[in-house]
Amino acid sequence: MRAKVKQLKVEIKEVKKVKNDIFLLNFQSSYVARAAQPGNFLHLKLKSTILRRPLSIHRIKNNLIYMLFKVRGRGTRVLAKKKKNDQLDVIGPLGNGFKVKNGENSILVAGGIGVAPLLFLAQKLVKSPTFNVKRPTSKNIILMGARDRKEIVCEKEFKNLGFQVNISTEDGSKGEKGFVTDLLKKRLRTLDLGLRTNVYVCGPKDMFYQISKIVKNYENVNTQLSFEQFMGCGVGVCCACVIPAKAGYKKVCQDGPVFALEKIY
Amino acid sequence: MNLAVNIGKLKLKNPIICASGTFGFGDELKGLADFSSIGAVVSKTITVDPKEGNLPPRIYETDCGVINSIGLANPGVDSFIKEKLPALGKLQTKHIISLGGFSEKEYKQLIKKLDKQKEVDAFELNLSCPNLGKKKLISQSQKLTYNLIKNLRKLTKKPLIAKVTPEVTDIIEIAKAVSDAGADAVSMVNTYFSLAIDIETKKSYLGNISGGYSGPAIKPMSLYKVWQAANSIDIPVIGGGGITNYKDAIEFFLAGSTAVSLGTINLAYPNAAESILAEIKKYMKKNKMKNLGNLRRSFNG
Repeated sequence: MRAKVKQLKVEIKEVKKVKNDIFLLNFQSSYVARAAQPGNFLHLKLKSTILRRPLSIHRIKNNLIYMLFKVRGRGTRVLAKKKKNDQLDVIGPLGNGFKVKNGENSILVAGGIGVAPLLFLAQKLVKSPTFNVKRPTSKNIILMGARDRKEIVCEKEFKNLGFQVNISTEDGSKGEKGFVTDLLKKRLRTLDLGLRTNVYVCGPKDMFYQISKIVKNYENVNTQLSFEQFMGCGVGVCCACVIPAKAGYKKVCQDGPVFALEKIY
Repeated sequence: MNLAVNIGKLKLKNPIICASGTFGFGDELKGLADFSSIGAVVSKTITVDPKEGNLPPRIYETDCGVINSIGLANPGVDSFIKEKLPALGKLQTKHIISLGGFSEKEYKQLIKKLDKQKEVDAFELNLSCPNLGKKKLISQSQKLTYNLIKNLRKLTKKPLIAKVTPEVTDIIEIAKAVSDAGADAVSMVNTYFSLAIDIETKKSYLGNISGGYSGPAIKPMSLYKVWQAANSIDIPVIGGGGITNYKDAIEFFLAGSTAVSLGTINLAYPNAAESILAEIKKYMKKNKMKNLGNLRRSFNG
């Protein structure tokens, strides 16, 4: 069942630079910590923007809510300059997140800053009752792709949760040279696909199309994609943030942001 | 202090109206907004047939405003009546249903289907959607506006409001056409035509290329149009366009609005009506105003 959506005033505990133009912000909220599911997002109001900005939940620890973001436009630029004790107006948790599925292989696929919601997902996956009932051949992997090494973050966090980390960069400055979709193609070839395999993806839209072509060849693979789109209200009333799905336009804020791949491609 | 206002026979407990397209079709926002502090909610525009809406992306924020091109996405009137309307009766506010037709016949069909529904308190005729790719909007023509309202007026006793575009050379002649044709109020303004281009991709930020502009940027222009219209007709003007706080709302009353309309601000703050209303009350108290008429007549030019 979907959690009740609330409008909350929260106080920032910390904003820190992780690497280059990637920042990590956290604030305390026992409500969000209790109610949020992986893949949910929060809608943040900043004084200097007109509309809210949707950001996914990166990690939850001891009632601290972490959001990882890359500076891309006005909203994220302002957010990166926030300081401890600054107030944030937050609506959330919003949207339909990742469904933590029973499965024996879990593959997380991150394109660039798309890694953000996948750490929270990994946290939930390792706590799910089926996670430890594994076959000897089952794998938990995160595939991280980016333009260059400066965009690769959170390796250690995933390793600490017991995930194998495979990296690709377009310029070859870290991991394999190429795209994360190449990594996926390779990994699927070597996995024991007699086991049920869940693929959880967040990243740019072009990557989703490539992934849809790859996973189509495997029957036992279930894939979920987390989308982004320019958003208005975030709560389903303005019908702005749609994406084309097989059954017509769907709202990213309310029907998504996470969609089963077969609903889209 | 009396904050009640009349729009024709429609009695509102307060003059704050949530504009079409920013508050859903029904009770979607009941967890985040206090409907009892909203005078009326205008539904997202309903059309005869379901509409998927325009190619995404559909919204883009510029420095001082928001461009949107939703394209009247809605489930169609039959589904609206079945799925959305029943929930409206339970909310402590009035419901104005926004109607969008692609011909006079369609507007007539919509009124016929909705006129007998008890949850419908009034109709707002959307004569000004900027995102339908047609060359001219109904409310850009004095004659089309007058004829359509005149013919629809015969079909319903419920209050009729005409929502018009600010994109005209002479807003006074349009306001007069609305009034002369027998509408109960004119609601203004709908959004301004606009465009934003990504200089890297050299493409518009919106799938439909152009869109309707709203938000703080349009407020002074909207205020001017409202002031012009309010001074030339006797029926109420529901004024708005870029209201983000109580000061903006007060300006619209001073310019002659009977009620004010909140739009884009609802997207960021679903409970904007509540806080703006509270601040208006404080302002009126401080200025020793007993009703909105006092406020409306206090513009010193």
